[in-house]
Amino acid sequence: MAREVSGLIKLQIKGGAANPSPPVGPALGAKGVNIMEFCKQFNARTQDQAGKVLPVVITVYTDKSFDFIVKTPPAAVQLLEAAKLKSGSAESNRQKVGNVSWDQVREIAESKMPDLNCFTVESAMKMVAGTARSMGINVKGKNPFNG
Amino acid sequence: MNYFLYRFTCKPVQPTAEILVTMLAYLEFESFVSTEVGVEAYIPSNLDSEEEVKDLIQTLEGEIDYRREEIEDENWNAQWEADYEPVCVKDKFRVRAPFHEVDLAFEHDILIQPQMSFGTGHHETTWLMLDELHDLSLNGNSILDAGSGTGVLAIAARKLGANRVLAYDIEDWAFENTIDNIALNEVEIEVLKGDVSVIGESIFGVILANINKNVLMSDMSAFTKALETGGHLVLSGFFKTDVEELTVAAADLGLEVAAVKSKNDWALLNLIKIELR
Repeated sequence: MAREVSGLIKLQIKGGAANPSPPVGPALGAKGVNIMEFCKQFNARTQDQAGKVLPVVITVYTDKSFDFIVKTPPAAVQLLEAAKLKSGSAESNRQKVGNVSWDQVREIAESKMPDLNCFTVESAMKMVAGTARSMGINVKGKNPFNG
Repeated sequence: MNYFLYRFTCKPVQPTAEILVTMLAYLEFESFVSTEVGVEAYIPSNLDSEEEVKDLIQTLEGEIDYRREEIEDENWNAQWEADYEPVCVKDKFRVRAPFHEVDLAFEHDILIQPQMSFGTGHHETTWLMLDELHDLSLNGNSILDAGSGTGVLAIAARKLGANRVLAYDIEDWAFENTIDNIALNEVEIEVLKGDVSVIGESIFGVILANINKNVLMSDMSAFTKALETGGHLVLSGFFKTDVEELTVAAADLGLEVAAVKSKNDWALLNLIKIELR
């Protein structure tokens, strides 16, 4: 018999760093899930992305069991990596602090397609490029959307 | 430990909230929950600096506002802990809560009241460690339990005849829970709070570490130094797919594989320190 879902929990947790504190503790604890079991599994599965913000969707079942999927990091996190920056621009409105190529924008857009409300890679690329601009990251090269 | 919760309101919600999360991660914020109006962000209160958050907001595009509140520490796992099932490791151990009756069919009875710490035996790695520990000769040996969680392995080692047992954990609640569970089981174990450096110059016959691959990789050389020649280093907390990487690192340190065991996706490595020629 298929297990009955009692709830979906969506969080963003740093890879390898889940612990039973809020928000993980209260969200899972209220459903009677063994929080420590989730933390052990999440940390083992994400150990190679330690410290990176990762979206996770946890499905909790009525028998208090659970499973979860870890998604690719948010586009903003990937943009910082692609631009080889430690953090975003401190003066993003006035000053550009890094560069990414349109190929990198496409790569990030493709990795985030399943999570974005976009029907085409092109519309996802426009969203990612918009995020880059807001972060003070310049998208270098010929803009594929300008003829 | 108490936490601070920042409830951020962002205009426009995206990409402002996403960029905010990315930047807050650099300010030691640990986890986030997206909301319709922005994002909620959590940070341990000892790492929080509201000034840094204010400075960060100034540098970001979009309108960002927030409310900040402190969340008191509590045992969020209480509901699960209130009625967990005892765990049996073959006929060797039965790990139970104080509200379960003792069952004399098992060789060793271990009482664990977890209080938000890891190690009740429900997880494959704890089960594997208990199973392996039982078959090692501990009589008279000095044992280290690295990353003790509930203290279940340290307590088991003492019940199996270990002479001296030292346990340590870096987490506050695990450190305190290990002490509580030692009292429940009426055994003598030394407990320290911190990382591997707390063991100092001590030497052990058996070292137990059920942590995770990253910590094991970085602490393996310290464990090896603290191990007698011919002593066992028993590791778990990683997947079957991680065994090779750990085995290669172990070989470089003069550790030989005595056993590799697994349960579902999880694995255990029993290593012996060999005499270096």
